[in-house]
Amino acid sequence: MDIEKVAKMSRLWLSSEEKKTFDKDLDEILKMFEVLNSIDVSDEKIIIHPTPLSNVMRKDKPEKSMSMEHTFKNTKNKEEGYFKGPKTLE
Amino acid sequence: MNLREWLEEELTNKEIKENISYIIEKAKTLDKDYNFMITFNEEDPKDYQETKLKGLVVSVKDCFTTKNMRTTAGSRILEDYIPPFDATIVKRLKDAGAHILGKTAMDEFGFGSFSTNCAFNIPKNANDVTRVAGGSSGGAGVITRLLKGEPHVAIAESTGGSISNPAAFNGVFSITPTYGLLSRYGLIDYANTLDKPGVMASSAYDLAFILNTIKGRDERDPTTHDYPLDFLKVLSSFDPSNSKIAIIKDYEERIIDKEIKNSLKKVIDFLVNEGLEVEEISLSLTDAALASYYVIATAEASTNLAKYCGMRYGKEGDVKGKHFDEYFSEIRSKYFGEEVKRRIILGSFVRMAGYRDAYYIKALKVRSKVIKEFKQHLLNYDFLLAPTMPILPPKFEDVENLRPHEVYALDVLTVPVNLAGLPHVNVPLKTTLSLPAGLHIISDHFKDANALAMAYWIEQNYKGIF
Repeated sequence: MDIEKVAKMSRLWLSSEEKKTFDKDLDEILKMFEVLNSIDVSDEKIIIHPTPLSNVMRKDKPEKSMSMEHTFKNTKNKEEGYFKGPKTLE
Repeated sequence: MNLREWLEEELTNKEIKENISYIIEKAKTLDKDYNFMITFNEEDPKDYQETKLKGLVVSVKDCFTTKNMRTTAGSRILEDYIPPFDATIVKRLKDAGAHILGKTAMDEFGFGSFSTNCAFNIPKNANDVTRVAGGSSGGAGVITRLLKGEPHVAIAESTGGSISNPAAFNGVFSITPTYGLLSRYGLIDYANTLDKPGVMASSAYDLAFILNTIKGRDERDPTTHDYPLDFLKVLSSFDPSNSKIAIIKDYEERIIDKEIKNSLKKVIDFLVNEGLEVEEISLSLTDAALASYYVIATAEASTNLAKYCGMRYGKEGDVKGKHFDEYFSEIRSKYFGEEVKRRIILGSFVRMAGYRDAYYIKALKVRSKVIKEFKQHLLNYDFLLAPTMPILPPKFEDVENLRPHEVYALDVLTVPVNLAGLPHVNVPLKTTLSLPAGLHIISDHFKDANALAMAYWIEQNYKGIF
């Protein structure tokens, strides 16, 4: 596994010690996953949920939204009713 | 006073408040030695006399949101998070007159089997403080055992065994219901298709009582189902004599600790002596189920945890002048623990182009096959019995040097049934030591009340309950 590539994709910075540790750990874990290769699933369909679900609809009724005070309670990065985030363009 | 006595007793508001205060003080004193709580609720008890639960004390695993009460999921990244809303289960409990004691310790985001991955308090086993509490709902298991005999229940959550494991390690009853029986709204996700809220208590009766209060469809969680059955009625009318039971033989063979083997044999002998039909079955996909689970769980976790990026809530930094890649990576790297990083990387990898079919898609198909295998047996048997864990609760020093894949492998008895979303109950069994073993009672989807009724019948009639 290319740890650096996967870590970058996952928005994680790893120290050289972490890279070394995870490299070994993940190798061992992927070996544990090899058992999947021995299972014949040619007749199996992909299932997402373990119990059958049909479309579940709720009534389309208006409800009170969360107050601005509550919405912004957990952040200091806010300004004039907006969340402030880092820049996305150079 | 246990839960049943608490509900039957005619208490004034003053007496109820005094009792609640006594339990809070008892819990706070015990917590100094056992570390089972992350946050205590500091609100004063209300006038609960006219309510259904009359101020029953409920502890809540710290992955359920509690309005205006800190909710961390055991992670530094949510260390200061004060949710503006209650999880549906918490709301239903509060509406019925429960007094929320506080939030119990857990592995960070539920990633662990011993609760040693908690970023705050690491809980200690209720029966031996040198041993682990189990995980990931470790705090819930410890407090439930320590408050045995008091009117208290714990709300917990299982993805791959996080309720049964600490229930078995601490010696309490627990139920992990069918996937979708209890609402996940307000649950901080680990893996959406696997996460199941559940309950721990001192008796199967208490579990049934609480399930009646919190079960059923929630329009905020479209995966929930209605469950019209009254759990207590099923308990009181249950007759085990017509039940067909099977022991999962290859689970029995995976027991590492002889004490567990002996406890299991004794309870099975009891069932046979009572005239119940007990046969043996084998499951062929146990190791594949373990692999399938860890692929699916980490894949889902890696996307779920993408939301922790230092914006809107959770730990944050100064966004000024920073590019989003740099900012998100900085916050996540600083505040996520080691196991979280490991699982995010693993989960991202199994979904990557070139590997997705070999791991993620394959795991989904294996999951389908595992469910079919269980359900085929459940056509012939009402209950499948198995040991809950292959080992007694280990000492802290013994788990320190375990490799991650060795820790994952210890989940082998709890993971398959969680992968299948089947209901399962832990019954705490005596051993010859001062530590408990666990018996798993597994039933078909939505036969939760039957599994609980069987557990209750064993609790009432078998002398070897821990």
